[in-house]
Amino acid sequence: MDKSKCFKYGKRMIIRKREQGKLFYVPFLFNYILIPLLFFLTYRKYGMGDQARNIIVSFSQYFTSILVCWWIFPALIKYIDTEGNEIFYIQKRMKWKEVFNFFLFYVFSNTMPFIIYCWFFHDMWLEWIRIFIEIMLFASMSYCLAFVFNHIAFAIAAVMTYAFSSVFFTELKTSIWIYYGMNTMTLESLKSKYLILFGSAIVLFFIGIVVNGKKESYK
Amino acid sequence: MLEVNHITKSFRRKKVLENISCRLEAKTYGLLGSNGAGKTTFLRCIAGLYALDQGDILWKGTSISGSKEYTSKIGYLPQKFEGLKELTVKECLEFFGDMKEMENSELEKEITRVLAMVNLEEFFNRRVKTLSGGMIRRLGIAQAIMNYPEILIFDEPTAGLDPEERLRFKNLVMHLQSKKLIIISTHIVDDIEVLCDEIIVLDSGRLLGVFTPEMLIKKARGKVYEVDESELLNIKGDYKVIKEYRVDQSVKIRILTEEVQNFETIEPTIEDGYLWIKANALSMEKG
Repeated sequence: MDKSKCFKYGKRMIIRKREQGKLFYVPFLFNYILIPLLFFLTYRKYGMGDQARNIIVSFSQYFTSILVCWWIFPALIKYIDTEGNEIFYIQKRMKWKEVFNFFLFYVFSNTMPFIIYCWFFHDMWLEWIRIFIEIMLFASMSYCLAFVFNHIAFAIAAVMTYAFSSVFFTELKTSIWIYYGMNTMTLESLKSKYLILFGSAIVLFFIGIVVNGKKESYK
Repeated sequence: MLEVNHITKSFRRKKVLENISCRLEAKTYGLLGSNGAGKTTFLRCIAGLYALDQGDILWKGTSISGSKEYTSKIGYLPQKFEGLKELTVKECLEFFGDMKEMENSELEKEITRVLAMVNLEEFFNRRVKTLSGGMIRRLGIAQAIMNYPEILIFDEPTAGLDPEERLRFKNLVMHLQSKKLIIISTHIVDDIEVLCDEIIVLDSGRLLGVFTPEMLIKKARGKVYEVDESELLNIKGDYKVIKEYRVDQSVKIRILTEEVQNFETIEPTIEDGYLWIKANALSMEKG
């Protein structure tokens, strides 16, 4: 990538970020302040044991992955829900690059805390892979459902239903739920369960591309 | 320049456009029609946004279907333009410039140029959400004219604007009229009167014709009368009331009729011609 393209990309991301106003920083609040703070307090009280580890695992499971939607849905609102949105489809129809950029930026920004966690707990990189796949799944799901429902509110409701179902209906042993639990992530469980979610994320993303292509489409 | 060949567009079972054909040159066209006539759908088809059920649109002899080169030449102002509320005016235009794939080096200059044209230079760093409705409309026009488009499509550009803003818009279009195809959709005839070289008349999804303002006026000549309210009973045959207005103490009624009346005819306007064409649409089609 040459210098001017990098500059253009950077500028584009800054504009997309500014478009979301102050709410853009909410995921950082969770991932950079809340979770590390709770981790630190637990560490201070109980030392570097399971309690401290569980804080990272549980809070990142509940918040880190789904918060990618916090950026993607507001970014897609203007393309889907606003009046006069056809203007966004004349020159550039496909919006997947914008979603992908947010996804990459989110993964990148949330890798930093995990680098630090890995320093304390040697198996934390497996947790990072799990969170990475979940972020991927939520990003693809948001993109796909936003265009399938053609309504951001419905898409949010669907994503939230999925997330809550994964938390509350764990007795339904289905492989499409995200796994929540304190058990240490292993390579085997990643392969057996998260490979399916990884595949689902890719499929959802491609469905999203197809439906996006059909919106306000000439053909 | 732009050939519209027998296009038909339906939504579910409802035909919104039916077998429309016309040829548009580098002129300013007014698109006239009542609410629900299919104006917005027609414009969206021209902007390459909708799949056509039948027919095709050719730009310089080539189908516009999937043509990136064609869409890069379009400037479009939708009926309801909201802008991007959290951004400043400059950032908002940067966003649209990016969509139009403009280079960074030319973007700054272009933003300055278009903002000067729409008189928004002093609001360069103001957030869009703090602008008035008229200013947001002007910002919409600014994004439409960015990157020197060859085709400009304005969908109801003056709807909801105050008289001053409407005048400003008219002056701006006057400045833009050179070697460009401009289509202005509206149901406000006054806007068209001063701006447009030709007028496309749509009614219930059908094209009633493309007329010059003079042609429209000629259609209604000798058929428009101004009568006193008390004389209504003396009108012969069918007639259509165009408008009622008060002159001094009496109420005058402007009517359109095919029958020769005993009153004096008055000079018709474009609006009279448009109404005559609408009223005679069926017989025109048969003829």
